[in-house]
Amino acid sequence: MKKVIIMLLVISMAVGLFAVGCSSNPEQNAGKEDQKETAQEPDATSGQEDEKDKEVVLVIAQTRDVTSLDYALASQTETLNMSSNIFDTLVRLDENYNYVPWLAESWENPDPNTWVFHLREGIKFTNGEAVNAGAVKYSMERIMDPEVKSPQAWRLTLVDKIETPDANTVVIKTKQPYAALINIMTLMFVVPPKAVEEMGNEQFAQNPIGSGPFVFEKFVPGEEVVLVANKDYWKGAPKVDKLVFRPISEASTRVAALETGEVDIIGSVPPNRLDALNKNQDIKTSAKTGIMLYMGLDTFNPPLDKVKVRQAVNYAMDVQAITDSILLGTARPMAGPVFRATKGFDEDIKPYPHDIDKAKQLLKEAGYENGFELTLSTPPQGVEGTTNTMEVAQAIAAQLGEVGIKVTLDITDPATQFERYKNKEFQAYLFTWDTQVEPDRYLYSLFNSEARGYYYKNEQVDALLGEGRSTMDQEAREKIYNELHQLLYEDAPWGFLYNQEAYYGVRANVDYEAPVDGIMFMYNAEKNG
Amino acid sequence: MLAYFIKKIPQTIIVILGVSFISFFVMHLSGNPAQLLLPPEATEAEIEAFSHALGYDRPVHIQYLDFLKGAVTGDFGTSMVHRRSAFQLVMERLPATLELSVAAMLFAVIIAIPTGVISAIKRNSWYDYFTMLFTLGGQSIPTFWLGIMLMMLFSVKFQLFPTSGRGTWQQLILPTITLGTFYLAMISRLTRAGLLDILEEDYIRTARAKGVKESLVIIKHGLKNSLIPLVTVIGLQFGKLLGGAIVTETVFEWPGVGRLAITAINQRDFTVVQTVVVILAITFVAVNLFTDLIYSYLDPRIRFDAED
Repeated sequence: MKKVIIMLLVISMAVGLFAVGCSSNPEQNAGKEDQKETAQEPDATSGQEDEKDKEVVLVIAQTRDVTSLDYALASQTETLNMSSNIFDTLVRLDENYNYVPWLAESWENPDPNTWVFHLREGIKFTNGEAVNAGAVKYSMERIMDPEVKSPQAWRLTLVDKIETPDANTVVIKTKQPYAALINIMTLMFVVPPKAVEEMGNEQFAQNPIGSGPFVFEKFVPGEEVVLVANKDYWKGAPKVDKLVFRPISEASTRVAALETGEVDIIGSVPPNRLDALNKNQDIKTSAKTGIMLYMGLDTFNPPLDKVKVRQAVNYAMDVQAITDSILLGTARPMAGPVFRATKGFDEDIKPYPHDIDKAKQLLKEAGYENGFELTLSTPPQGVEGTTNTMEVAQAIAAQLGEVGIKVTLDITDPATQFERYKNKEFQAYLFTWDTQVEPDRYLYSLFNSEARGYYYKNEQVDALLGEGRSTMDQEAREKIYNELHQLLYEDAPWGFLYNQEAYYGVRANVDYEAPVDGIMFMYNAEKNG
Repeated sequence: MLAYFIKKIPQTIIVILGVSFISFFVMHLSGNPAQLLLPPEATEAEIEAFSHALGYDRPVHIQYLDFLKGAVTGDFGTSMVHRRSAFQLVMERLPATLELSVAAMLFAVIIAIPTGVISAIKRNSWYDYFTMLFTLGGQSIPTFWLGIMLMMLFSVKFQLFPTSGRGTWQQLILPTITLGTFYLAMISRLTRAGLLDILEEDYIRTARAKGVKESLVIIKHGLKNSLIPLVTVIGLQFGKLLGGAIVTETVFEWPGVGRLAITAINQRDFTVVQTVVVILAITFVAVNLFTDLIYSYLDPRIRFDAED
């Protein structure tokens, strides 16, 4: 008996000692802010490298694990974030959605099917190879090569050939006039031909070499990617010395890590945590762009084949109520399917107002005075938990019920959702889409009857899309997309829902704003104290 | 003894083959993964072209035979998401899962057995009631909730432990407690129940009558015999643990096999899912066989029966 009691005491003492032993160390690791920044880190080998004492490290938590660092081989956002910091492109987007010169000093179109880019001279990859026209040509042709199986290959289907009349000039010939090419070029990362040939594509994707502001140091799958500053970057060295990207898929864990100071920057802050974070003195939040949620409608079959019925659906919904209560103000009702950032967005078009009487009247005119039955297909949540599709669907069902439209919810599995969508199984469905600057990149895919003719076909829309794609003059393009905006608004192939902003959480001592294109480019980031 | 295990081998192979077959066909029933590998802007023609390039448009049974051919040589295919060998990907994550599983099981066993024993001895005392209440809670609390609550309390509020990741032993504590609590509760109750049963047995009464010291009665005669069914349960549960404690791994961002599997399923990374399924099946079977071995060692009756 006594022995048993003693055994128990010993165990509790051991557990107690354990807990006490824990508390001393982690305080420094879990990050009291001041100690973390200026790396007086307890595990840093002190005295050996004096430069490291002042090393400025930014820790960034992404939603998913990085799979590959080369965007040419993998199309995940996380990969895009890596490639964006390691490689350069010919042009970049600035905060005002304008294309600014990067590797290319200037460019012009001598004729509608030709683009000429003039590259800066003297830039080198970190392995010494020259960043020249040959490298650009190689990088793009690698993507177009069917052997490489690049998920970006389809972006270049309208490219006919690439010529390099001299070391600093790249000439791209397209099969038809293609105004969106300049936008595609922001995703064409330039890689060193010799290194890729030597290593092979798969190896290179795990050990990339670029000319960008950061240099790849190490990649521990499932744990972290470490990039260090390229001190010789041709635009000037970045202001931080090291970037550490970690995956934290669980939103609460991500926010917790930001609160303790373990990470400096996080993306995808769920709307219900924003309040708490904003009240926290050590943290600030910002958002620039995000996703949209829309309700696609099957316009080929009754009753949604009548435009008045579709408009009625839009009038019956109260999207503002949804964004206020479910999204807690982090989203705005859409005014048609065109993004505000897109050139050609018509400011005069306002979101469909919530008007039950108008909805009922339209339904009566269309011959559906007593309403009808509607099946609404929705995934249980948005991509990566970004938006609360289930709650939105339930709200919509309630709202449409008021005008006699009886909604049945059909919960879809994200993995099979696309399959069912293609098989035309849906009557109404909720989908998300990333915000885009370039209208051709989304409007074409969404509304062109050849690209996605499952639920909607409008020849006038097709014609305008084709024109918009091949018109090179900026002003003329804007007019076309403006017209398209009006047309789609009135034809209402969708129940227009909302644009939701993606919030980034940042420690107060870090200078980093939410990016306009959703890509975490860290060149201008700074960390103080 | 050896014969016993040799007899098990064909059984094992059939189980593993069956598991791989079912998972392969069910996955392919769910559709074509090519679309998930491309950005949403890609048109249908582009998706079909990509699908063809990857060989996903071939008949399913051909794809399965291809898989088997490769699997026999250890080549489970390439992950189209990671663009690396699927086998390598799973093997990279296995140590992390093993580490967490072993830690959680050790945590559970080391605390559960003594508390279970004491509960059995001090049956119906305050100690017993308190412990049983605690274990009931431990078996009922969802892992998800427990993990996040522990993190909120000990990482954010008290800043005692890091919130996530793997590498330092401090990062191991919270996931271990989260994962281990359920098994701690279960093993504690089983120990108590088992010991109580045994303490009713005749040979216990005999030992006491002989004048054996009480502590010796309990430990040598009582506990050792109750260990037999306990070991079986622990062994089977460990096999389950190895299946990747998905929830715990997700909450604490532990780079284990479970998380890899979930991500692969969502991304329709067929090769990785298939590899995880097969390797976990093999591991589970191996753990079972090992448990059988220990069981037969502990219980001589089994050992001798098998040798007949």
